[in-house]
Amino acid sequence: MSDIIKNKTNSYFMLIILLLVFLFAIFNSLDLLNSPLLVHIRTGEWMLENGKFLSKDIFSFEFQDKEWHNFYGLSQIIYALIYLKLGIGAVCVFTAFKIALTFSFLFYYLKYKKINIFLNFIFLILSIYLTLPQWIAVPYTFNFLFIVIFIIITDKYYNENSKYIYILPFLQILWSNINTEFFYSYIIIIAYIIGNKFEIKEKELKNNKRNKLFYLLLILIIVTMINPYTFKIFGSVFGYYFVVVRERSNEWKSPDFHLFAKIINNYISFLLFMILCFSKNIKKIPKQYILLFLISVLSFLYAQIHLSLFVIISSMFVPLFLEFDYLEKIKFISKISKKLKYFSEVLLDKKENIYLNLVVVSIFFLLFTFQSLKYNEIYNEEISRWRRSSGAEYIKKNKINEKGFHLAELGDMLIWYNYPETKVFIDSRQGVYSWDYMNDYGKLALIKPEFEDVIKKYDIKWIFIPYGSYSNIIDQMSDKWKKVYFEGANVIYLRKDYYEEIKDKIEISVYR
Amino acid sequence: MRGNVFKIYYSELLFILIFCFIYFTKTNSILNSDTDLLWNIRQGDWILENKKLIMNKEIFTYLFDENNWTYLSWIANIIFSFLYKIGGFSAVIVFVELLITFTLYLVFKYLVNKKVNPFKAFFIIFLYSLYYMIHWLPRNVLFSYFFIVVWFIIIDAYYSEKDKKKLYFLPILNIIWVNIHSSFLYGFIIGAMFLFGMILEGLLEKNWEKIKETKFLFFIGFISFLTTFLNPFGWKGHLEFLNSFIYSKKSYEFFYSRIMEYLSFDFHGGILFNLLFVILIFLILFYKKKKLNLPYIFLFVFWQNSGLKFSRHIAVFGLIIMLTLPQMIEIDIKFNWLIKFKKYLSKFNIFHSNSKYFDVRIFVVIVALFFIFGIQKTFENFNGIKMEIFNKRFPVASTEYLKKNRIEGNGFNNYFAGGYLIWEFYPEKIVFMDPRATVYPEETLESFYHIYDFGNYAFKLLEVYNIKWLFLSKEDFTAIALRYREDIVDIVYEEEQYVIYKLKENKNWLDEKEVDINE
Repeated sequence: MSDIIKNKTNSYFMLIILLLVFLFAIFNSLDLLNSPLLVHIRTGEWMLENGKFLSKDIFSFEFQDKEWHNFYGLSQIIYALIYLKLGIGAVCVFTAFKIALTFSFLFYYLKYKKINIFLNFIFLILSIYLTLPQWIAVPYTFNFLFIVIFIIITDKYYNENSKYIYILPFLQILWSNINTEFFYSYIIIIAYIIGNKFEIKEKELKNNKRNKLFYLLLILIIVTMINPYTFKIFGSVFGYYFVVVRERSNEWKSPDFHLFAKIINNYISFLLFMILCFSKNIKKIPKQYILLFLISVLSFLYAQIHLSLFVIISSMFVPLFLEFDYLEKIKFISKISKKLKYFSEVLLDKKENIYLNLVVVSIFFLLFTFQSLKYNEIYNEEISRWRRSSGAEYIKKNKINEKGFHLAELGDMLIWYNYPETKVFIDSRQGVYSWDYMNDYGKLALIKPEFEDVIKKYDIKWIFIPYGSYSNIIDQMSDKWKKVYFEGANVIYLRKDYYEEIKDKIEISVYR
Repeated sequence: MRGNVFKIYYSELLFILIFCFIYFTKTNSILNSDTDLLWNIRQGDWILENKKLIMNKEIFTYLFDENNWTYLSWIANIIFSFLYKIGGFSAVIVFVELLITFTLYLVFKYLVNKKVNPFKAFFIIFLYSLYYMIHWLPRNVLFSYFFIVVWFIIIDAYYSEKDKKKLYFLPILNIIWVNIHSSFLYGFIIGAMFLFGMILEGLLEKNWEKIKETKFLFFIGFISFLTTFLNPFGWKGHLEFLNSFIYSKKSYEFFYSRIMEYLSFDFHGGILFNLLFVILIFLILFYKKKKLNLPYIFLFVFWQNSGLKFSRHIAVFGLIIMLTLPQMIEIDIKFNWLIKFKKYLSKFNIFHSNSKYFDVRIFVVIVALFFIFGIQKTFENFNGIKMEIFNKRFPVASTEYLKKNRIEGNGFNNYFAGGYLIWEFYPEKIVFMDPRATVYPEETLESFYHIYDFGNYAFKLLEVYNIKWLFLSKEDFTAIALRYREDIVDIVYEEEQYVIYKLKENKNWLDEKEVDINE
């Protein structure tokens, strides 16, 4: 990696950006914490404790001991290790580092492609700001880093025959054990193969490069199979995404430009405006960049989960589509532009100072440790606040261990606090629950008319739901359900016969 | 001259083809899309019966008697009501389809007159009609789409050809627009984009003449703006439009969170629309002309932004793509088969024409099509086309039951069903809520959604409004909750999708359910 950093220009900016984004992420650190992380840590802990990979479900009632397509094994172990050694704060700080590293590579790439440093900064700041909603401590954020690194290495190989291409298979092994989006590497290589086809170069050179990229693609596909599921990973990942997740998971829905993706709409307009006004002649743009950019647009409009991937890929490539000749015909703009170019070159071409780099890196690690320890307390308090308001504590205290119904995010809390005593109905894990089961969950969660049939089907004895329309409906069924817990945010009901069975052992805690 | 009469032109041929496509494939879906047409016809009936333009009397909901709603669509209401009287739904729907086709015809004519290759124009219109298609509904908004195209063509004539004469039509056209649909300010957005674009181009090119020219455009815009006050409500008429853009009014929050057409478009379900968006970027990147007109870029980007946000604006974005994209791209691909096909067409006397937009021939075609399809209903019952409301889409059976067994007292109804109840019960005032929505004060909207969502005070509100029966979709939360309250309500009618509940005699909504409480 040092070759990448040292290449042609100095690395001060890259390090500074690493630090700044890291600090920025730390200051927004409470947003990094989220309930799926807790399940990943618990899973990781189990694997470390038992010394084997967890591919069977241990958390839910219905799928107990059934196969779990757990494609996040390595990231779960990493999270669990950091958690056990340094606490929950360090997991979030680690995520902040991962994100910071992504953006410093992004900056590096634009610098490497000789993009004016100020344009580089504009796209960097935009991408940092726009991806903020997805800065969360989950394995998904590893994808940002992998995608940026894969693009940089492939691009450097394509243009300079860089030897770092040999790293890619090893990275691919890590990626396929960390997250399900590993197939983006194939898309990147295929885009370069197609781009090569359209390039005006000597035929022999072109064919040679294309063949090598093709072999690389094959190697990447083969090494992907180095995972607990071997070749089955392909069928499982694609099958799961195209059947279960895309229909049931909110983040796989089309972006909501009123809320989550409001600002992204303006970003798309900005990109379109820039392309319409300033895009280069198409002959000057390598087609692989266009292809990757278009794929990122397609995947983002398809599912809002791809927001950050779209922003990162567009920030890497759109600046390469632009040239400002048209504006530079205007005198004062031309003057400013020349000055910017001069500063840009001066800033980037200063010689490296190894001592300065070491100082920056040391500051970074000090911050890492300090922040981890400092934030442990804050994060623990935040989780226990969730716990108090979630009712998980009530369930644990009163030993309500029969089969119950709750929403997925409450399932995460139950796993974190009540495992192994309480088994969950559902949680945020992917690859566990079947299509039919998810459909039944949908009927319950969205209160469809047939929800009572589903309750009967699964013999549900308690319901743990947020206060509101749902609980108001259950209140009307007071001959069947007994309200035993309500603290203002969540409500717990016990089925009347179950309540009669255990009423002497539990306390009723209903805030009125 | 005589020879020209027997020539067939691409534009007229395209008109007939598009119309036939819409008629034979979309008629049923257009008629059964939503209930807006139904209450619009009823409003038109009232206007014609009472010969009043301002509906100061509320005629559909029993909640209030006076109506302060500034609904700027009286011309559209009269047109729909009149058409329904002369030819039933058939005449209304065929008119709507002719209006959609004529809007596309104008786009094609404009592009051909701007020297865009007719095949390229046809290709883009064909592709992005899919965006426009989203809003092919029997609604007043279709008139706005027509006016958007007309405004664009007129202002562009001034921008590109310095044609001042056409600009004088804008204030006159605007008087019609403001009285036909509340989206008349879209025209000013188009004008503003041209104005800014021209000023910026003038500054960048140091073309002071161009900047001076904006004065006249601004002047016409100002006169046009003054004419917008020529509506039955005067200045108050503008509030209707502004409210739909400004979030300040609480009632509009309901729109942005609940009404389908105000939500973002679902590209997940409509994967084709996603692909079209990507194709759009692809065409721009690969075939963009060296220098583009800034007004087109501004308009393009503005409506892209609005289209992604509100699915209903994708239709406008589609129209703007059709109008601007063929002028922004240069495709040099020469297909031999296309050249041969062109030659082949000329054998049949099919040519490209530079004739005026409003050629006599096109009016003959329109009248003929309206007569054949709308009045004579020549092709009704052909290929499954029936000018009837679907039982599955509308609560036909439940409404029929309610008509025969009218339950006394105030009712509460599902939002969508409100439009159909109006249609069947007018002139009786029966609904609690209907898809006009903005006619209702904020408190009523809040109460409606609170009951609809079965909020904490749902029963209290049912008591306050003295509700005796509820006409609900089976999926409504309140409908689900009431299934467990047999102690206070009876299900008097139930069909596949809808259910009617009636409050029991001597029962109160606030009656507690009798249960064994062992606390």
